[in-house]
Amino acid sequence: MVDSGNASAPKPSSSVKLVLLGEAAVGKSSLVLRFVNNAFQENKEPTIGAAFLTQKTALPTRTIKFEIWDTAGQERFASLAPMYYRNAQSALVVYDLTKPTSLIKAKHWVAELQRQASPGIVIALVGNKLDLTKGAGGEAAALPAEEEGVEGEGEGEGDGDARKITTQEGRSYAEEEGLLFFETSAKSGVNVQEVFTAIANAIPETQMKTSRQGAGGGAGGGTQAALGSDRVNLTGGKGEAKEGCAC
Amino acid sequence: MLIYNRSNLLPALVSSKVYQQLEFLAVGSWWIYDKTTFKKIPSSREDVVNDQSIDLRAKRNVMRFLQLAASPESHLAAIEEHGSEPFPAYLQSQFKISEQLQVTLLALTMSPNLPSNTLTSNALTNIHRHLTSVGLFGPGFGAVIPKWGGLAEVAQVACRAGAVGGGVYVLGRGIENTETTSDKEHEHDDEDAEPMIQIRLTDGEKIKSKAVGGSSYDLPVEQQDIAEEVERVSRSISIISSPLDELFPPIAEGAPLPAAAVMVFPSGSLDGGETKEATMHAPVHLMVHTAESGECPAGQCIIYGHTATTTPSRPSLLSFAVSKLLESLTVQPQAQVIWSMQYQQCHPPSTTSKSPDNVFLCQDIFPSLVLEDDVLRDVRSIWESITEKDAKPPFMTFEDREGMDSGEKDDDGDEDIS
Repeated sequence: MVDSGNASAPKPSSSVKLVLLGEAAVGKSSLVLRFVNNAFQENKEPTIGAAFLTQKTALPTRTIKFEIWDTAGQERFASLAPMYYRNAQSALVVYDLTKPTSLIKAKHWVAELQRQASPGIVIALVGNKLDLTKGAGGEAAALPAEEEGVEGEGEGEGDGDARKITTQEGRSYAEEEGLLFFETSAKSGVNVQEVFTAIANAIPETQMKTSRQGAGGGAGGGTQAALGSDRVNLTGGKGEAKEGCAC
Repeated sequence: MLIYNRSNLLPALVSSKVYQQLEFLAVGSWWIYDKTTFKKIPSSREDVVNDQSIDLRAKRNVMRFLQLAASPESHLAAIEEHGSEPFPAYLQSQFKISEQLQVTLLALTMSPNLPSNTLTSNALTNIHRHLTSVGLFGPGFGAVIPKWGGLAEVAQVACRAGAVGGGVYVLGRGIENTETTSDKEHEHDDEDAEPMIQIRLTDGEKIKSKAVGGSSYDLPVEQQDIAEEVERVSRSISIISSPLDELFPPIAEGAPLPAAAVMVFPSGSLDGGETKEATMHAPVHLMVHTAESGECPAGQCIIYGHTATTTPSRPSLLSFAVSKLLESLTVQPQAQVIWSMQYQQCHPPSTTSKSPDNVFLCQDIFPSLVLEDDVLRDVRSIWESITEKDAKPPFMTFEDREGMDSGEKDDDGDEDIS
């Protein structure tokens, strides 16, 4: 495989950069909070700029450390997004099942990622707020097959079904674009862990930044796949030879 | 802003591992405006030898100069002896270099000043840097630009690396004031009460820190009356309807594709060769970036104009320079300016205002065309002051952040970079 044939390491560990994108108030930060702290907070304040969190996920053969960049959904922060999704190996594009415009926004994000992010980025489309839909568990089928029915607490006022986007609509779009697809509830926790596990599994091992114990020489080299020939390699040439410069 | 390959920033980006998050593109050719057209400046001594337009004797003189400028020792000796002379006079007296070739060498200094205000010390330092930068990261090019919008990208990556290392960064809040608390806050004191600085943020929140660093924009500094001494630079940004491919010939075999070109209008050249210094405009620099820079759509290019503002000021000088550039090209139909803006940047003279202990003030950066080494040098001295009491970690040297076996948080000692 790549380098790092480190015999002593029992389970290889890799870090994966993940970015969350989506319209304001669809629950991006809440999904992260659920994933990282297994907690939920009503009326969470809007994210300013971006927030950073990490969380490990153990897979059978390796451990993944997610470096999660939770971006602000408000339009005024939209121009910041590129610096968070650049070099990201995965993205979670979130919409609100009860709000049709949020799916439109999600599609815009998917298009932007496909155009501008690293080629090969793993994108998961996530419809959140499943707890506000009727018979939350019943209809809500997510990619990894079976679904333990969830009591949708019906906190959505009036109890009715607030769902505005059918599972079918989200799923068929995701299939067209080759995205992972889930419907989640950050509030109840349904499917949240599953999203991250699915992403971890979908990232090819060769894309992982495997930990290099030796550090030292650290010729970063091949980590950023598919770079144009126009990129300058700072560690190449006779570069570093003279360290420190005139400093 | 371009970064010479010899810049002290680049090794620091490598040792701190943040270079993995950045992309750099090569700066290609330097061009000089002469009457109505642009001429490519030979970028190396080999190019000078091959340049047919310079006669043999002049070539020998120029080569003699370039040899001196490239030598680590000789150029310093020359600075020692002639540093305070105007550069053109030095070239004339020491190398018999004609005025026309002086202009070309001046262009390589990237000096924003009139020729007579360009001192030999600065000029030789810069030409030395230019010459010794070529070839460092690949054949034929001596400078790079960060992709996706310039040096702001470096600050972003540094902030991100800080966050990954356990630092917190906060947007939209500034520092209202700082106050060194000595004794009064003894209620919940730590082991041995090191003096702490109490910082009040603009939203009223109070935090404490051992040290505070930032520029005069970040820290509350007493303002002095300096208005007249302020240096001003005019800048412009123009988006052009054509990629202007002819400005980006391949650099050399095996070199990356050029993503930037430097267009130099020598002092007075936009007035048909005005020679009276009193009325001459300062050099005008246009940095042309290709769409590969990520700063404009494909099929277009973007031009950053820069000139030191002389008196009387000439607000239209930059747009005039852009139009002259477009006229000089052969591209058909003639390229158009799709959009442009202009602004002025002020630079207060460096102050030596005293700041309280452990409050560190970075010098304001002169709004120049080139990232100068003193920026990072300044940061380094602050770094050393802050880490002095501790184990003196080597400057900007971090482990690969992928290593996650060594505990959750490795304190990188990140500073706020703003």
